[in-house]
Amino acid sequence: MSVSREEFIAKLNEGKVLLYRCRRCSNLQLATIVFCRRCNSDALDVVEEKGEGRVVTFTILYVPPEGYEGYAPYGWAVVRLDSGVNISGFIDVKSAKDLPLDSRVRIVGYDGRGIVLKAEDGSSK
Amino acid sequence: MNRVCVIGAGSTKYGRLKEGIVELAVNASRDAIKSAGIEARDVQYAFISNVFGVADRQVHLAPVIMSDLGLMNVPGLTVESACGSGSIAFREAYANVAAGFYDVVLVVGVEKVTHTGTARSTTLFSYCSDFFYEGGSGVSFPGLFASMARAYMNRYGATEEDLAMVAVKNHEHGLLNPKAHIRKRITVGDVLESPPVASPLKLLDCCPFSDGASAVILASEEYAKSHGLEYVQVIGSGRGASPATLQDREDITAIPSTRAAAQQAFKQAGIEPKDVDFAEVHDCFTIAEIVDVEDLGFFPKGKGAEAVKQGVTRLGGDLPINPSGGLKSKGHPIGATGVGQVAEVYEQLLGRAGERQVKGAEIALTHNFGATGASCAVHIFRRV
Ligand SMILES: CC(C)(COP(=O)(O)OP(=O)(O)OC[C@H]1O[C@@H](n2cnc3c(N)ncnc32)[C@H](O)[C@@H]1OP(=O)(O)O)[C@@H](O)C(=O)NCCC(=O)NCCS
Ligand SMILES: [Zn+2]
Repeated sequence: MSVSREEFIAKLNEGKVLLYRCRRCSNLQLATIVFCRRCNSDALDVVEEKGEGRVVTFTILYVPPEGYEGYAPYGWAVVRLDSGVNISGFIDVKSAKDLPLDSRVRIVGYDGRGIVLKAEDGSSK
Repeated sequence: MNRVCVIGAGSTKYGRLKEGIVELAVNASRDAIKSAGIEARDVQYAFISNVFGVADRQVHLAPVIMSDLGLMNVPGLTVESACGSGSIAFREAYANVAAGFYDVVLVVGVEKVTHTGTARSTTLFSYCSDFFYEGGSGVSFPGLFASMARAYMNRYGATEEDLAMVAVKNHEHGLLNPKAHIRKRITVGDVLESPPVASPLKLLDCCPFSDGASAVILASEEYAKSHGLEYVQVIGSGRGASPATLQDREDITAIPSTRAAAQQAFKQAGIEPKDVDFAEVHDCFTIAEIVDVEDLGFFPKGKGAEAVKQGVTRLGGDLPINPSGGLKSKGHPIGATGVGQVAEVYEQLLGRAGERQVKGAEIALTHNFGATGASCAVHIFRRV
């Protein structure tokens, strides 16, 4: 079974991430990637993961692209999900102090800002 | 494979320019043709490097540029690989000449974006990322490199001051380059006090948005010799690719495409990093130069910042990096940049670089990538 971008986004909106698990080598990857990145098999099972994990790195943007003017400053972070698969997205934090590396974040949706993350301890809005 | 060389180069000034995209490309191409000592009609094919022609209302650039060069019967092709377009177009030209399809090929890179303004340019550039995960989730290119910088600083203990030293050095070099976009001496303090763009990067950690064009002429060495032309040899050419997104990098503090391209180029050239006399590398942000000089094999991982602190990479140091001023000071008209690096090497190896001349340089390397290094090309050149 293959996942469309539309289905992938629908799950993000429920705070979940669709992954593929390779039947041949068990590799896990985002379900937007159609061959296994490790062994190139396309025998892939769909796995649903809770969109929770830890901050790998991030930035706070002060000079935004169009459409983000109203949010600046805001964050963008790379996150390692609990499955070990990485994803990234918009996060509404105003200062680097509010988002320590390795702190826990989760996906809360997908909208005009893209993939939207939230800091779990509630220290950010 | 035929041996390939560069027989001519030309560049416009880089900066906020009044000329349009076609005029810039034509001017740089004319200067390259004239410097080569050939007739325009000797050019048999052209690669045009450009990303945002649409922003200046001109795509399908090859026939327009060639017609204005009086070469309406000479075919060409536009190459787009984000900020790496120039070196990648050069690589395609190299491959065509090496394969014997053509004897003389023009590569011209051009960009015209400054008229669109900061917000529009930031948006356009973000289309060079994997837009679904990156640009479309609010991150700009300064933001992507800032994310690399944070990871790098956290792992290797580099500081904002260390990053700032790269900008200070490249601005020093750019002061000596009459065609550079930002010619201004700056201090570490200036960098640290400049406004934040994407933390931890500040205005003076970033290259500017620039307009400009650069062109070079490649020929088979046989052609150059039989026509008595001056030239520099291309002795190594490599290409590499990385995952398009930062999230998919095994190590966010390194760029795999640089390593792959460099390995191929060094192997072909039969030399090692220590044999290189100077390099033009892709310093779109201060952190990028630090990562580049490590990935190219010039310094061990985690030691790139040390090299700039100790002055090794300054003009007059053991391994000058970006004597032109680099993207930081010379400017970054993205389609032109990779071609401009080759133009710099051509001038340097022929001893024509004026005040910024790297004395006695015999072997030089160019390194240029697209986006966060998703596409990369490395070339190595030798004086004959
Ligand atoms: C840093 C940045 C946001 C500044 O925006 P900008 O639109 O260039 O800035 P402005 O035009 O408002 O310039 C304001 C002043 O700062 C100067 N300036 C702009 N960018 C500069 C830079 N990177 N370094 C030094 N000075 C700079 C301008 O010359 C101008 O000076 P002036 O007022 O004396 O003329 C923008 O240059 C940027 O995003 N750079 C990165 C480009 C990029 O991502 N490239 C792709 C790399 S992969
Ligand atoms: Zn597999």
